[in-house]
Amino acid sequence: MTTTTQTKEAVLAVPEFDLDVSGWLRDTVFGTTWKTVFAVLLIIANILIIRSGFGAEPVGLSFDLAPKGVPTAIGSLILTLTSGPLLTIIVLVLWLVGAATVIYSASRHHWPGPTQWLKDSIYNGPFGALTTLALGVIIIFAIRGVLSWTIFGAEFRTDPDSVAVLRDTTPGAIWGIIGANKKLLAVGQYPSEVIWRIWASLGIVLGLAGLSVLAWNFGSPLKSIRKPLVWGWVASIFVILFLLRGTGADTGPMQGVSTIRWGGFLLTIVIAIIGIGASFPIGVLLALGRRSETRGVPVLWRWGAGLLLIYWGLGNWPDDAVTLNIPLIFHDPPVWTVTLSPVSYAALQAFILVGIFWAVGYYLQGNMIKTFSVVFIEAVRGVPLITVLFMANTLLPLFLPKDLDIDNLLRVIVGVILFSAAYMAENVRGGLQAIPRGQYEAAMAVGLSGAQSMRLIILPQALRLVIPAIVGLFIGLFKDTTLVSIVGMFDLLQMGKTVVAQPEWLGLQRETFAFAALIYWVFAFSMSRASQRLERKLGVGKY
Amino acid sequence: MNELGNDIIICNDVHKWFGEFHVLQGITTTVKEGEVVVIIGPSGSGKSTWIRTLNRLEEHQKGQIIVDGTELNNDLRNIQEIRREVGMVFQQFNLFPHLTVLQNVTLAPIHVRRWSREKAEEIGMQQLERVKIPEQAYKYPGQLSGGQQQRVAIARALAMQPKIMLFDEPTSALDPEMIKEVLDAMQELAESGMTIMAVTHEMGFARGVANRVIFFDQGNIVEEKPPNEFFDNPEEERTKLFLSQILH
Ligand SMILES: Nc1ncnc2c1ncn2[C@@H]1O[C@H](COP(=O)(O)OP(=O)(O)O)[C@@H](O)[C@H]1O
Ligand SMILES: [Mg+2]
Repeated sequence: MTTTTQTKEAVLAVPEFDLDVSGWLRDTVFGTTWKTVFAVLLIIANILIIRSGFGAEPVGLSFDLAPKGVPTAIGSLILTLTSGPLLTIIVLVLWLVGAATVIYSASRHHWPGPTQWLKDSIYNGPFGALTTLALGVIIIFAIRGVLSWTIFGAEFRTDPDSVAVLRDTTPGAIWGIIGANKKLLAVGQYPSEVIWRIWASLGIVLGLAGLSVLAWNFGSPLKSIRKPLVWGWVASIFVILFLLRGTGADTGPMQGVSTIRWGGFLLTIVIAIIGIGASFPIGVLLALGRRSETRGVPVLWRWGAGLLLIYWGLGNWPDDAVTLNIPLIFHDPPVWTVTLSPVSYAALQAFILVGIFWAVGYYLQGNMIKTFSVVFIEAVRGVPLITVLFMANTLLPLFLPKDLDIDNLLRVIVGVILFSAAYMAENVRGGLQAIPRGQYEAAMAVGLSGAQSMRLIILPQALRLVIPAIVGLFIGLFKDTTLVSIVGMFDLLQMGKTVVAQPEWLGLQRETFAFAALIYWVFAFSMSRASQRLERKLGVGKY
Repeated sequence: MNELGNDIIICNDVHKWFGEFHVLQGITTTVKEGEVVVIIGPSGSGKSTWIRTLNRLEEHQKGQIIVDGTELNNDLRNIQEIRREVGMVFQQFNLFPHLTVLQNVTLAPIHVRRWSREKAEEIGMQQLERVKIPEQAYKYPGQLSGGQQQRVAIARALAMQPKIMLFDEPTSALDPEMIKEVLDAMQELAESGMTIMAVTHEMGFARGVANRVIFFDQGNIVEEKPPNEFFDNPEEERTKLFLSQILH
């Protein structure tokens, strides 16, 4: 309110022309010691940058982009614009204009006229001006360097023989390694003759995506297909997995492709999407479970079960004395050997069981749902993803029947889902806690059941609150899929390492990893943009 | 005044404890169909707690509460049954911020009464007209003033076509200039024959609209009388003291 009035007055006020330069210098530039130091440093930095600009030689660039050795029109324009002397002149002009603008603007208290924009957006005070200029120069050099490495000085031929000849003379990147290995990087060892199945999967996804955009963005006519679309998405996961995996046949169009042969970006995206997709609902359930107030086990049952356990503990009576080796630190030898008589062993068992039961009953009021959720979440959050993956890979088979051979990829995905679900649950719980009591009460008062209140009132608000956190988690998970290489999977990054190890492309790590980084970045960045869009869209009329 | 019907709310020696704290200390009273009861009393005396036991937002631990012929006990179906017939309006409105006004109003009819969307919207719009804000139907609660929000809350409760309406200090969170629009809506409701229990300190409303005023203190009913008698001729010392404090 007040600001609007002030701005109005400011606009209406007659500009004052009291040119009090010394007063202005005192007030704005040399107001405090650190401001003075900062200003001086910035001035020095600018002078140094301009000086180095004068002395700079244009970076040696290859013009091989065009076959005859002639630079493209845009290429030569950028080269000219960023060559030392011209750049310096541009910077000098900007600097002078900026300085003049700042002094001129400071000479008046208010700044009417078209230059207002310049002042506000670029030359916002002397520090703003100097910082903008310094950063501007840095950015120009950075862009120039990146462009000359990635494009203007780069070599795009994919045929290893000619690249071998050109390698030493090429100043920029040798992108041939990517082009020549694009299949490996994209889908790994997936058999070439059935790659159409991947294209078909992609087609399904793109088709659904296109329909979804239409159904959710252009109003009523397609609204009716929203529900079928949601089911379509769910079904598509299974259709696509079937397409990718194939049948048991050894040959033919639907031949089975073992997940060992999946690799590259295909593997990354499969793990990420299934991990993200499945951990979301599981996480929500865990969060609700952790807040559950269900008295899952009535007191009577608890004691009944407790007695049964005691009976079992006592009944599980060993025939001979039991020797326990308890590891110790700072003790030589580092174990403490205890020999328990059958009686005391059984008593110990019973005691531990009763203790656990008592803890569950006393601290969690017999709420098994809550107990399970808390134990699961805290156990998983206490270990790194790598450990979970190792456990999924090596420990899980020990607990399962011997002849049950679970697919390596499936094990890894289960590990990723469980890991991510635990974090998801904590985020969702944060959202649930932020919903005021009044919302629960109002939902109950109008007669909604507990499940309905959750589904219609509480979760929609809670999830909306935690969208940024959830998307952050998903982005993290997407990038963490790189860890699966540790358990022998060839995801995009691991495939990149393999590609670099080929004799004809040896030593081209920079190109490969830059490419992989770009792919990860594009996807992570799109997710973050999509989340912002979603937030905006859902934020309508919020509070 | 309306013709009063059968007993619709019966409280019989209702007790409640918050841990050690004995918040409701044996309330016994009945409310008849079509009756308008105003409850006044000092802050912290348990008025909210009592009124919230009537639709089981709070559990009572001893005694008997019968609403519309159904006893409130741990049976979940009874509770759902009663909540369908009892509308409640809160001090803080408690509208659902992620839903439009009309969605707020039609949500329970659709999901609890299982009416079709068309029917729910028709009745919802009728209720919004009744509280004089049909033009706000497609806005979100956050875009409305306090008085408008409270009227939406009334319409939301009415859309379930309840037999009883409970109000817990519906005007205490409002700016003075908005109190009247909410009281007008409540008065119209009272005149239509709705059974109302309202905790409020709007003495004008109590005098003009109520059939009975209950003075509530320290977890129990101290005095209950028709408004004229209550204000002009209070018997209990505590009532006199309280009235002298709020009427200056
Ligand atoms: N959930 C609760 N737990 C413990 N004490 C409560 C709770 N709700 C209310 N109380 C206490 O019960 C008393 C009555 O509260 P309330 O019914 O809100 O009074 P009133 O509405 O008359 O101001 C107060 O002393 C309050 O502190
Ligand atoms: Mg209260």
